[in-house]
Amino acid sequence: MSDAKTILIAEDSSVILNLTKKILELQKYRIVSAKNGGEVLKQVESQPIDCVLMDINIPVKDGMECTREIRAHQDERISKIPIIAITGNANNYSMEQFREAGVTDYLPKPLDFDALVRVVKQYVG
Amino acid sequence: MPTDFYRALFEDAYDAQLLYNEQGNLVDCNKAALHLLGISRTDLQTNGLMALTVPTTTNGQWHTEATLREAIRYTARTGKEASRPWQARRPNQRNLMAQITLRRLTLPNGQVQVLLGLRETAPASRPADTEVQQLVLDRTQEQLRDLLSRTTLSYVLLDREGFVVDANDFFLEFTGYTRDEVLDKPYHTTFSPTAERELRLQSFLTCIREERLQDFYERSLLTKNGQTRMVHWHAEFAHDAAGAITGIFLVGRDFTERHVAARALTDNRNRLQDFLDNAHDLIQNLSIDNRLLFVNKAWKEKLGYSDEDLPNLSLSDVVHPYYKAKLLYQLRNLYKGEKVNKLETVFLTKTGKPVHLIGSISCSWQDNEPVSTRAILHDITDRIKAERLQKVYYSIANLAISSKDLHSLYGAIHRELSKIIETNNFYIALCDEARTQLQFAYFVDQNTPGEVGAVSRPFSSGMSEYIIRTGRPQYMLRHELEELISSGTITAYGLIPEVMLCSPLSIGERIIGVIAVQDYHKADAYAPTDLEILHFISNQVALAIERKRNEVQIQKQNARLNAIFESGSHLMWSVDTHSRLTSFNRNYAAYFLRRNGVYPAPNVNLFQADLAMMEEDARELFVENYRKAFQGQPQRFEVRLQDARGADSWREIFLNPIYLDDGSFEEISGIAHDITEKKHSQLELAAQEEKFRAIFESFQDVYYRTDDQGMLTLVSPSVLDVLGYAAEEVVGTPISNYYIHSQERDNLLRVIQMNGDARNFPIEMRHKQGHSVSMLVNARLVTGGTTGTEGIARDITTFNQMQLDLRRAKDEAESALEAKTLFLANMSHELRTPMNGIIGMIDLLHQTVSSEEQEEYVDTLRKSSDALLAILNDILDLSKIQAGKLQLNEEGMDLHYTLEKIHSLFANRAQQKRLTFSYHIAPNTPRFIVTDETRLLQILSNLTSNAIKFTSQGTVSIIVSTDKREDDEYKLRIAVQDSGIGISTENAKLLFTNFTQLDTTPTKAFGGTGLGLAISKQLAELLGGDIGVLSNEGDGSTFWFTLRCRAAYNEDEIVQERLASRERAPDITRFDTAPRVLLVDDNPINLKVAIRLLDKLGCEVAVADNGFEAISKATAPGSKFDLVFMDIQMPEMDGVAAMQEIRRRLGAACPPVVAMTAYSMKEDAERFVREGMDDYVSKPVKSQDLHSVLRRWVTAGPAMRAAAATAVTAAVEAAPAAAEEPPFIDPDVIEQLRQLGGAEFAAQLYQDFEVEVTQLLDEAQILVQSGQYEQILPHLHQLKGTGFTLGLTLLAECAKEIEHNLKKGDQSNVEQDFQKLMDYFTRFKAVYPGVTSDL
Repeated sequence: MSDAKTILIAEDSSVILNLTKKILELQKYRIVSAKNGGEVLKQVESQPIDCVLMDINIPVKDGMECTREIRAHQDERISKIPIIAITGNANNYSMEQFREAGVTDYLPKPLDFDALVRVVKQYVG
Repeated sequence: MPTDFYRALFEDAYDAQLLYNEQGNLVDCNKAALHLLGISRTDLQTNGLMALTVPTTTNGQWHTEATLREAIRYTARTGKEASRPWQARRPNQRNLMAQITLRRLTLPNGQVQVLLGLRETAPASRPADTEVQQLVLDRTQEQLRDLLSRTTLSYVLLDREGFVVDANDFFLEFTGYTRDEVLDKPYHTTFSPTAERELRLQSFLTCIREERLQDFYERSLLTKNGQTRMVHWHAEFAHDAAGAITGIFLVGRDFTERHVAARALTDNRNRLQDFLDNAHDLIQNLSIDNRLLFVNKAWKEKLGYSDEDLPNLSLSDVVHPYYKAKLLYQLRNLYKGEKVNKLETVFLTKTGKPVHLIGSISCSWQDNEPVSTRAILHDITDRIKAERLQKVYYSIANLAISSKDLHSLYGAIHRELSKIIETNNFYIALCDEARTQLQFAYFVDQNTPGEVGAVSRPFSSGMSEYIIRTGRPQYMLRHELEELISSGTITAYGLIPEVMLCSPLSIGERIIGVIAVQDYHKADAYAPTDLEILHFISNQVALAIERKRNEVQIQKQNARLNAIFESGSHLMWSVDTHSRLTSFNRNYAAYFLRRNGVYPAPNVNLFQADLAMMEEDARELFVENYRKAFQGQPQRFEVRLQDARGADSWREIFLNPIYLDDGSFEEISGIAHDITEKKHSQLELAAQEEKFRAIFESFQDVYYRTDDQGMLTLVSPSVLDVLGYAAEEVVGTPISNYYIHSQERDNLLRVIQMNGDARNFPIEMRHKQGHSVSMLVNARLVTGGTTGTEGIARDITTFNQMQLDLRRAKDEAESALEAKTLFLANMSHELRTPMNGIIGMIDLLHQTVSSEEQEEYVDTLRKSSDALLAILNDILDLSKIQAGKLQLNEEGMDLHYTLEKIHSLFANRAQQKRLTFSYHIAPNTPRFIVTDETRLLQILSNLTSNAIKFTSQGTVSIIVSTDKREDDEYKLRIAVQDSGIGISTENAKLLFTNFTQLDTTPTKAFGGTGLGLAISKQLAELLGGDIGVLSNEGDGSTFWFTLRCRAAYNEDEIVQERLASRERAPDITRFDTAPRVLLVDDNPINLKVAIRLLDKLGCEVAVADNGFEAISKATAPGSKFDLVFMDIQMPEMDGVAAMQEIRRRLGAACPPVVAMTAYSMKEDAERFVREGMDDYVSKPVKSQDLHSVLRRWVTAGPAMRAAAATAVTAAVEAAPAAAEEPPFIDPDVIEQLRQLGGAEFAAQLYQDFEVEVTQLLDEAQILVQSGQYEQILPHLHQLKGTGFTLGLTLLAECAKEIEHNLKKGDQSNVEQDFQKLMDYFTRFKAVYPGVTSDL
């Protein structure tokens, strides 16, 4: 592996964002972020992204919607990005609903750092 | 030039006369003019006539030299006379009123001049002057009279009535009268022939009356003796000083004798008149002074003169200037008596058109004197024209050859054409084949001064285009043109001429343009017959133009060929059959010079001059090729030549026969160019190729190349070694034949197509003998001419096998290790479960002992089971460490107290072995430090226990020192020194590995798992230090370890905490409230232990041995439990699922559910809490743990319970009896964050949290106040997630509860709960700076 893999974190809370960023940066990942659903697609289209950590409850456009948009993207490199939902699951989505939207895997909140690293590694390497 | 006679007339003329040339410049003037104007000749010539002009309002007066000049030029051009009044002032201030008359004169040499006559019109106003003037006039008149007498001219002055006033002597002598006989006698009565007398008088009177005079005329005169004399008269008005006409004076010359024949002829005039008038030929009778005495009707008609013109007409006026001299010469010969057989001349019509005449002339004689000539002239203009036309026709044909270019051809055509017709306005316009452009190749026009260069216009609808289109020549008059324009047939470009002749220029059927002449002034400038002329020559013009054009084309082509011949770097030459050089270009000349030192000359024998100088082999090559070329075979060859300096050069040479039209050839053309560089690179390339071929053939890997069909086109010989095929065998066969899996080829091709190449692509190929060979291929697309792939394949069968073996070995090793770890973890867990029962029962047993002896047994039992548990814990610890799951809990600690604790722990044991046991702390060691005390104790007790165990006599001592200090960071070094058996160096290496005991004999003297040092090593490393041993076998050992720690400054707090925990420990009492407890466990032993323990604590216990029973009991109506203890691992339904179901059914009424589990890992506990458990106790359960949980959840009362409900996670790891509230921010979380990103990072996170939550809560508060509770769900959700993540358990739990309630639809407590949330947040803001600053 020559270049660092890039992870997009879609998260409106800067606390969680900074924390997640730190954890993943320690694992030598490159991190880009989106503060709301509107920025997600922009980020994904403007650079190669290896994985998206998607908070479901984000403003403008929620994580489920963003996930659907990415999956429906005409560029195959974009539509195939692994998407890991991060959620306190306030909306009680079932795993089927996540799958239907195109979520690859999900991590519950509060975030378990080890689980975070493990899951990201599983999909990104 | 005027003769002397005319000169005299001019000078002595009464009227002032000025002579101007046709440009309007003053040429001459007579004395009368100078006299009248009163100025000198020089003044007049310098200042001009108009300098004297007095400005008046008189209309039409010429005021300035410019207007006068204009008028003169007009008269000169048109021949029209002009007359204007003029008012002037003489230099002596006398006014002059005069009439200016302009009249054109054509001189015999064809020169045109204008005579300006100046005649005073008004008398001088002052009478005094008039007298003087009259006097002067009279004197002048007398002088004139006398002068005339001397020149044998008659002078007669008549008054207004025709009476003779004066006459000179010559006239009197001539007529035979005396002066008295004629003076005051009526002139006409005396001198006119009787028949004409009355007519002449009347004519005279008319002249006086009308003030108009015929200047010259011939009149017969009767002499006194009755003879008729013919006199040629010049008449002038006589004026008085006032300018009034007083009469007429006549100057006459006697013509009588010469006029006899004419008179005879006149006699016959009437008879001849009819005959002559009906003749077609021109008949004229000419006086010897060239006056026309008679002309017939044909003459007048042909030349366009009327009877009125005749009296003033002389031969000079009608004869063409070119022919005048010849005609006069012939006339003179005639007068000399010579016979003129044939007269051939050209007259001009009144309009100036030439008429060619041929005929006879004869002379009439009278008294041996010629009197007149008669001429009969035949008009041969048409014949002449036809002849000319013929000539022009041929000369135009020749013009194409003689003119140097197209332009001069046009000029020449113009000149030729002007010989036959008028060509003042002439043009040639040419069109292209497609008729898109019309180019005026030649254009001469009076309205456009100068000759206009080649002007083009788009082919449109002008007259020229009309002609080209129709292909018919046209004669057009102005009105015809205007009709065409108004009908839209043509468009007018420029001025419309009065007449126009236009003919297409055609070559066969092809029309290349148009030729045209036109005239803007005279409609009769051309006759319709002229069109035939134009049309007649137009073909020839067209041919000439075409021929010239082709010629120009050929010249251009020649120039082009020459440019090609001379350009570039090629050598070109030609040789004839005699080997002579016939032509060559500059490059060849330069080459020849370089080789032979001289320039080549045409006709030099090339074989001798150049070939002879060549090296033998080059010469032979040349000779051979020339020979073949001369046989008609084109040759191409390359030759190496040396120039004079010996430098090598290569030339490529082409020799070609130059074929003529008839297929023969006389010359060979040669072209050579320098290919030295190409040749060198070719040679170099060949060498390179040789090199690469060698490499190729010695290749160990297989190089291959395929075409676009996948057929092998090239394979290196190494294919024999690798796949068993000879290269020749496989070339031409499909490469797919050698693949084991055809889709591998497809994959490879796809990768190549996508990336252009493929690297390290593994494929399986088939050996000739059938087995498969693993290959690694680097391949790429072949670019250039053919498409296909090329690549290098390497046999990696052996390499692969090796790799496979290695991987298998590694996998085996790893899985073995993993199995071991798993086994240990399971084992310890399985062992702990029964241990739970043992220890619990011992606990209970202890409370029932009655004797000292029993007490001792139970005590031993307890010690044994504790030891066993310790071993199990060791194993568990190790597996936790190995799994990376062990987390440190760093807190402030009192180092002195810790060592005291160790000492008191082991003092007893040391004493039993009679060992001296002591500890020593170096002076500069900080007392209060931050580290994980538990782990430090674990290492230290391990080492101490070993030391005591392996020392039979002597001392064991602990020495604490500080190795190094950086700011607050210390490296603490703790050594345990003994005087035991010691360890060899080899054994020392094994000491710290897992499961190693030095004594492995079956009868080993020392017990233990052998894990102690391994765990210590891991722990020391976790604490940021190291571990080691210094020993000589038999000479005791020193085990040491280091750890990294910080000095702690909250010393008081540490001491307080320690004291508090010591007090808390024994506080186990029965609950008075008898809490109702549901105990859920599937293990009967554990159940029994727990029941007993809870019993002892005064609880009312209900039991369920599986999840389902637990649910039914917990939710049974009337059952009201204060607490549920729930085992996690149960068959069928685990504790978490049961708890969730109970919670679902009971909702808010659900009692706290506390998990009981053998999983002792903190992460598990957290997970259970996340999944809904309220609290957690670790198995084996101890009385103390149960007590503190019950205290927390049951006896604390509702307020405390709410707080307790959120303090779970911290409580799990908190001190066993957590009566006091846990830290508001989970220190483990803070530590974790610190480890993750450093203290600053952690602090920053909390600051961010404050900012973020402030905003969240502000928003939420507004929503809450407006009763929009549902709207705060997202806020709560975020608060919950972030809060838990940052270890703000109370706050997060609070948010969670509100969220939970709202989702259930329970809004009853929202406002209070939200206020609570706000309070927590306020508390957070107060607490966190202190906590994070400690980091």
